[in-house]
Amino acid sequence: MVNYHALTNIKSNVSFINISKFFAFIALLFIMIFVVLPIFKLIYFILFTDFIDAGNIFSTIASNYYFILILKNLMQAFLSTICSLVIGLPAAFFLYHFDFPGRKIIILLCTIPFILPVVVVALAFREIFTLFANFNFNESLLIIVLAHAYYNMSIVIRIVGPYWRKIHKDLEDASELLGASLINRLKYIVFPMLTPVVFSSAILVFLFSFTSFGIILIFGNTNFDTIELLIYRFSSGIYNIQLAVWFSLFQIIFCTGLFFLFARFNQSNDLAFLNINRANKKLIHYKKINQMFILAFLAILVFFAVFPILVLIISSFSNLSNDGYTIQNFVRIFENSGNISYISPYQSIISSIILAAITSIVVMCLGFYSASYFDNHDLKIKKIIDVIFLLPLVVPVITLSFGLIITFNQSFFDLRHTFLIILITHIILGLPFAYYLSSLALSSISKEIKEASNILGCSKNNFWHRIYLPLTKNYILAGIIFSYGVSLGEFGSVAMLRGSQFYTMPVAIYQYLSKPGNYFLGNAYALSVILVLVAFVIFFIIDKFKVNIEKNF
Amino acid sequence: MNLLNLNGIDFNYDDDFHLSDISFSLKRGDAIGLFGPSGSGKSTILRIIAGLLRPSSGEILLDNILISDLTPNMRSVGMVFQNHALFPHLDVSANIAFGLKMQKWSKKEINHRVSDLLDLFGVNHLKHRNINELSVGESQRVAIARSLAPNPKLLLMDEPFSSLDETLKISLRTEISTILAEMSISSIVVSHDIQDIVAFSNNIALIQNGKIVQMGFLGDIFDTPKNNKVSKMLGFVSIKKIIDLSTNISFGNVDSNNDIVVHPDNILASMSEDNKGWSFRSEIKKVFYSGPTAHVLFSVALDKFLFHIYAKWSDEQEPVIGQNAFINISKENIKIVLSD
Repeated sequence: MVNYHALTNIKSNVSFINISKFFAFIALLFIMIFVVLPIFKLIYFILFTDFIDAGNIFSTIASNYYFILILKNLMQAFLSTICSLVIGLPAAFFLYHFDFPGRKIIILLCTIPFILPVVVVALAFREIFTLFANFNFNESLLIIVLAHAYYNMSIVIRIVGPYWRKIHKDLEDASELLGASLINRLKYIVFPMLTPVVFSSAILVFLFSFTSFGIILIFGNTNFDTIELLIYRFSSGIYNIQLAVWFSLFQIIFCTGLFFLFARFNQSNDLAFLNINRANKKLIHYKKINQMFILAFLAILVFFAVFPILVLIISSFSNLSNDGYTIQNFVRIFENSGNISYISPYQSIISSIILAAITSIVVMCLGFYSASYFDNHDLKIKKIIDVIFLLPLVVPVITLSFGLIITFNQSFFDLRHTFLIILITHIILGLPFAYYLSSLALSSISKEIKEASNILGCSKNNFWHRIYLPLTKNYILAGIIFSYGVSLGEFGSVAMLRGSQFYTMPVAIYQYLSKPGNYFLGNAYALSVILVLVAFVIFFIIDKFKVNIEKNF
Repeated sequence: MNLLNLNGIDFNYDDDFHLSDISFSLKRGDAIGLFGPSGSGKSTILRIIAGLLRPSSGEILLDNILISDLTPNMRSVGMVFQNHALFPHLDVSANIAFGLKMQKWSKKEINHRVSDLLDLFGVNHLKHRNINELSVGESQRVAIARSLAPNPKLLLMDEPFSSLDETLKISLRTEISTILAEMSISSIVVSHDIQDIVAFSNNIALIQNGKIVQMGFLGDIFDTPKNNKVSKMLGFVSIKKIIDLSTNISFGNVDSNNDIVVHPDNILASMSEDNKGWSFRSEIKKVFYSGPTAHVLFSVALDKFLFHIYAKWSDEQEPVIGQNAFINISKENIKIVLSD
């Protein structure tokens, strides 16, 4: 008699291992060709071609203009970080120390800005500041700093908050029993333990603000061009490839340095042993005056998180020529003007949906299969692979795109101006997250579970669909949805790499903003509101999956 | 004179859980154990004494001072946490020195005291270690040394040995109780394991559902457990059913409100019948040599019921499987308790 069960086992075994090996190979190949190769190409340009005159370049960069621009870039990032901390730290304290109705919703609301597409945040802040009639756009650093703080405050809240909460419980109790007063508890326990965590979140915010691209481009404030923006300008408008190469190299070195600093601080003390589920103190039990103070702060926080989105929604429904309200902006999405050079909102939506759909599925396939293939390898190899998969995150988007441009400009490999290069870039940008999330999912399956299933007669091969898949399903779905959202909102790489015929929603929004007239502005609002809506839906679905994404973030 | 007095402590956490009328006292240099199943409220009592929780009514006197209104750092009470709660950003000696620093001892005095304690608890070689490099046993010693450093009037221990393995537990609790006795530290131990408690004290308070059900010298409690809940917590087994079915011995006023219990240590088996209590003849099913004295297992089938009785072998002749022998329980070891 034929043992069908055994046969299916063998079949799935062979296929799973082969498939994961195949995808892991593809993923590594992708990173090698589209991340590592461009970096080497940049270095090659500098070292071995004579078209770059190093001496001349240095004097250009050291010239007042660029030197001051870099300093301004650093200062902008520093102020943005300070501002994020000023908002984020008290929020982290209040939201993770007290219990009150609506606490979870406030945490969610504060996280939403982080997943909004940059162009949407930029448009919203532009809109708010135009409310002040005599506000001078070109000279204000304030709007940039506020937009960055809006975008990044959730990083501070979500990294610092849970850690602070754990210190607050047993460790503070223990120190109090040893005689420490409130001031001494702060001085000897809370601050020393919290500092590395605050630093790691600050470095991340600094990194994001320093490499900010979309927000500053849309504000149109050339006074505060970031280096990313300079590279973009040098490779698209004012051509200056030499400077772009040098700045790219600077970006890679500087950002890698920051990233290592982040990784160092992020290895702060593991408080897993304190995992105690004692409830937070109820806010109601505090003095009235304290309650009022906390509630006032939280009200401002919620206002800050929600107001820009509200402004966008209201703008999208306003009739821009007279003062009424209309749904005209949304209806117009489906119109076709017949003009070839017209950027159709409808077309941009279709492009975005297709691009994001392909990206998210490919990315999760590559990420999950790679993670499961390397999950069984020994720790040393796994660590190296982890670093390789982190690479696309370390190199800023515009720098990476520029590297791709100069690498694939040759006739043989002319991927530039094709849809393919944009798709590949999106996949590259999504890979670190997909891989990380999959590793997290796989590490949640203990070794004993694997052994138990094996002893119960489940072959290693059968293990895949009987144990792996059911246990990691939520992570995979969350990963697909999240990658979808990231791809939908991605602006920099598309702006940089697209040919004239291809545009996604964020790029269309940017194009509308640079055109005169209310007609185009209306399109921009409508598309932004759609993106906000999608971001909300994605966010709440992920929240439903109960996947702890920010665990180690 | 009493060191600690708890008078009528009530505590309401939520609808499901509350402590009611917790009162007991502790003499200087003595120890008491709070014993009960998890969720009974024994850890809550410790936290109230420490000041980490505030009782809704009642008062706590330590050394004749009313401490119920003092903050934990003013109470001079030391506590060993279940998870040890060592500060992960400080090394071993800095952890031990922490309380002394808070009391503003001079550097010289601190160094002296810390090195004394390191020696006393045998962890001198670990003084510059990081906390996450310690084994569970080492971290346990450091945690106790840390809580003793500032000379607290009273030491509280919350399930101090629950994370240790069995062999380490036995040696460590003997060692630590000896140290505490030498230093004449008054202490309260909370545990769900009676062995953890008797290492420190034979005085216990049995806690169940937020109430003290019985309190006193353990020897007395084993002699006269108050009800079948207490007897069950202490490991007694009920033999009412088998006695009802097998004999017509009368145990006085036994009715449906009473239970007949015996501690397993007092169930003996031998080849001869002992007439001083209850005896029953049955076939030996299994023999266990888990120690110098063998234990035997009887399986008795009576009126649809199957009873497994595990007894200590008390005969000079070795037990043989298949042989008939007697289960003997002497009369003074058979307890009649109220059943709730």
